Amino acid sequence: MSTIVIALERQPQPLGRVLRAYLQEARFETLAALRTPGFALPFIAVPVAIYFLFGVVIAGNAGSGEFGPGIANYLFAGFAVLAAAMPGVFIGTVLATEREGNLLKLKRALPLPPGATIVAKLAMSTGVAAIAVTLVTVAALFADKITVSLAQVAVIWAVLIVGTVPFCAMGLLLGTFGSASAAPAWGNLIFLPMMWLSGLFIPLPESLKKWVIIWPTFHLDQLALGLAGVEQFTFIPPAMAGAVLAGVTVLCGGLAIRRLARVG
Amino acid sequence: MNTQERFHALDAARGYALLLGVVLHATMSFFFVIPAQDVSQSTTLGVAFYAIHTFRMTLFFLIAGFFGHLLLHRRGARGFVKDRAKRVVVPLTAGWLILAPATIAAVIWGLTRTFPGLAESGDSSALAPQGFPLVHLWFLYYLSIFYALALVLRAGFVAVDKGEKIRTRVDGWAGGALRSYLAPLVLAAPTVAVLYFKADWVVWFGIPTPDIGLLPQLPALVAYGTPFALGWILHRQVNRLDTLARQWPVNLAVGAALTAVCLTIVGVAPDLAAPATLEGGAAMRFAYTAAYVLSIWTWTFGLLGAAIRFFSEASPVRRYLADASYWLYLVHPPIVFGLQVLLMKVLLHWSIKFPAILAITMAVLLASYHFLVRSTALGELLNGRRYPRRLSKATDREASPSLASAFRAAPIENARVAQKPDLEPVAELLNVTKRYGKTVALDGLSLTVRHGELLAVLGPNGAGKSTAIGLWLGTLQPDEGTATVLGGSPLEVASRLGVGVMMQEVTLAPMLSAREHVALTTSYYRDPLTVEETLALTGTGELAKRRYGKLSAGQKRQVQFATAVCGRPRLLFLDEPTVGLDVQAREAMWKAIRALRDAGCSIVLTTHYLEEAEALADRVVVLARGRQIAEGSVDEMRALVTRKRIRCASAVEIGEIKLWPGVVDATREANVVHVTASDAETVVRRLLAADPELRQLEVQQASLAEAFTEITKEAA
Repeated sequence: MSTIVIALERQPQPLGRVLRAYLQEARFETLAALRTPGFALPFIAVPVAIYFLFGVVIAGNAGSGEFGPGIANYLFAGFAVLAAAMPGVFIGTVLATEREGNLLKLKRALPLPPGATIVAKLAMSTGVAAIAVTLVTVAALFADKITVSLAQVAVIWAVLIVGTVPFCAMGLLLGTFGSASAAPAWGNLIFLPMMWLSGLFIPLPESLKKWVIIWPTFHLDQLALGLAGVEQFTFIPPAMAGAVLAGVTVLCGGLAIRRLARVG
Repeated sequence: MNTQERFHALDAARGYALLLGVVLHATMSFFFVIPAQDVSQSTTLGVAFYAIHTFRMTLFFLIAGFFGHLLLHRRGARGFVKDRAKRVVVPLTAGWLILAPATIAAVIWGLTRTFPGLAESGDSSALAPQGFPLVHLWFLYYLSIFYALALVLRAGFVAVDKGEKIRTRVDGWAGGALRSYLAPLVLAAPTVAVLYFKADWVVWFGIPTPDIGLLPQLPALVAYGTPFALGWILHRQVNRLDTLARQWPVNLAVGAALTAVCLTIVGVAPDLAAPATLEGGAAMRFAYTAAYVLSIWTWTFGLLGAAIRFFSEASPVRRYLADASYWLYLVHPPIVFGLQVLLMKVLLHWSIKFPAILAITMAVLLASYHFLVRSTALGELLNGRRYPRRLSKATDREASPSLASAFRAAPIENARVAQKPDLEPVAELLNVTKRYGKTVALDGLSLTVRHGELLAVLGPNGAGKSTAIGLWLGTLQPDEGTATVLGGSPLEVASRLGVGVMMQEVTLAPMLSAREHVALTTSYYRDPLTVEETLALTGTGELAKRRYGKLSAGQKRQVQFATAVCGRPRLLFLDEPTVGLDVQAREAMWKAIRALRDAGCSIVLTTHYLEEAEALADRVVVLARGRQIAEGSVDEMRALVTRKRIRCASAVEIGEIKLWPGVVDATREANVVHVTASDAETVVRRLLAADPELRQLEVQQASLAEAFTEITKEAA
């Protein structure tokens, strides 16, 4: 009976195997990223290095400035935001390379659960970001300049880890455009202005200050500081920052998934 | 859409409706005083509560009515009563004994922490439960009432309505109302009437939850009896559900808009001082009541329709959650309320606490379900079936040195092969047309892959080979016609579970080793070979530890071959598999391909190497310009090669030559005759006998390549 043969074949995968497929995909995605020196290393090492240089050594005496000793908290959060955002934005490079190498096409022909590729990328960049943010956090605790409590540091840390998601969505969207060789350029074109112009760690001229709200990094910074209750540096309500980040995630993520369904 | 698919969707919707109940209760401490008042209050969560509370029980009762009618028809009245007693009445009584005290304790704890004055004054009467506390189990109590009413009413109908005339008419009305979007208006009317005239109706909280007494409450009876009855009627005509599946965007949009209107009238937070009044008099009261009850129905229809539209495919995750939802909903209140009370004074924002409460609750509940319920008598009681603790694993296979025996080791697969010696199609293209802009890549092509055969697809570049494979793999969509793989669409994961693939020009992740690539790919399949088996059988053991990026082009193809076969596919697509391989590696791959075919795997191979097709294929198909121009067994194709072409200058009539045995075709250009012959010697002898003047005789052997070039040209 041919119908019975096919019916047997067509039973869906048991849940355990579906979850296993998600896990393995995420595991090997992360493994491959950690082994790619051009990807993982800068994102893990750079934030902690520049935090140490600018946030601790150079800004060592900024505590006597207009913001008082609290400025150390702001600098810590700012550099940690940088660490959280970087792997997500540059995930576009990985995606563009895979697209060009027909790997996404191959995966669409294989029976891996739909979404596993994107979930794996999300997990990978969140994992790399978690290492980077943790390093900045440890550096901040050792430098002993910050005045917020350990619980507040923990909240900032946790919010930033979850906060990698909108940047991942941006990265995925970038990765669906253009070639593999152009992807890093696009990433920098977005990331560098976002890093400097969102006022996370350098004072901005008045004319630029009102424009910080266009950068998602500013909102992640505000969300983390707001939820941790660092009132001195909470400029907008955390709910608003959260809404902006959710909007960025839905918009970029939705467009990326839509484009991937067509061009992947 | 078939009935089974609709059932998947309804099952999922019922499960999600119950799970939304957990979310709903978790919001309460952030905008209300029961079970506790959190220090971080949230309008957002209040609005979320309001929206969820609008529809979730109506949705639940509608689906309950639907499945109630189904059960009655499957089991008969006696079986129905027995089943409902076991799965509804027993959990209601047993659950009440255990869950009600724990839930009430959590609420009292919360109230004493929220209003410390109450506890100190010793006035415990304010905290004492009023009436008979049914807590959240009221829904089981009302379900039991509805089941009993349904049985009685049905008995009456059967006695009176012998020819089913009344019932057919009711079905007709229901269908018409659904199609015209008028159903919500009709269905809302009774509930609007009851609520409008209920003077002590707490307007913000919608349908009054009947959780404090055994005496049936009129509003709940009417408001939840209506959807139960509709569900009951809908099961008599399941096709009506497809109407809802089409209407879901409109219904959801109207539902959301009505909720916005209601919130504008009543405010985004409950008015605790005067809960039963609305500003604006009787007109406003009527407007609010009507808008609210209409929103109940439009939300319910919208979500039900969306579920049928999107959740019809069987999904293990949804299935698991739907099975788990009953247990989760039954036992969640003490945990949710306990956590809310525990966290109420912690100085964190609600956007951290609320997800934390949900995450902890779900983790505890899912773990308890998985380990205490799913495969125990409790699971059998609640869900009617007990799942085996562990799905049978295919680890008892012995690692075997030959691919064929590894394939044979799968007992079910083997049984099927044994049962199916006939040539059942495993993949099919039916009248498929595919265009890229103005270029027609495939032009009404029909192609079948039969069970257990190795089909070689040949043709010049641009013939449409890769397009045909892309349609079967689901990476391309046909403009016209259909592609099927293993009995379904290639876009469904269930179809692809039996498919292995080796594409042209793929770059796998360079930083992973060959072994890791195989391990990753096996994780996608149901019953794959082990990594060791795959490496041994494809001869890639030596490459196992090396990074993919450091391999030669031929070695990369070998690793791709290993990933293609590791899932024990029933159908394997190999697109130019041996490009770049040295002779030895090519021979090894051929051997493995033959072994796969001998084990019952159907294979589609495209290649430029004709000797590869000759060495492997059972059947050859030649494509040119998107059409099939030749098809046959390898022997038939070889017959094409044994043809010879005879050229000579002769006066013999073409029409006469064509009739000679051994002549395939004959043409004339001026005085030169071209003859294609399957038996050249006999034809030449006869030509010489017929025309003593014959000159310039040439006889040529046609190669397979030439034969294909020839027929390709003819097709063009």
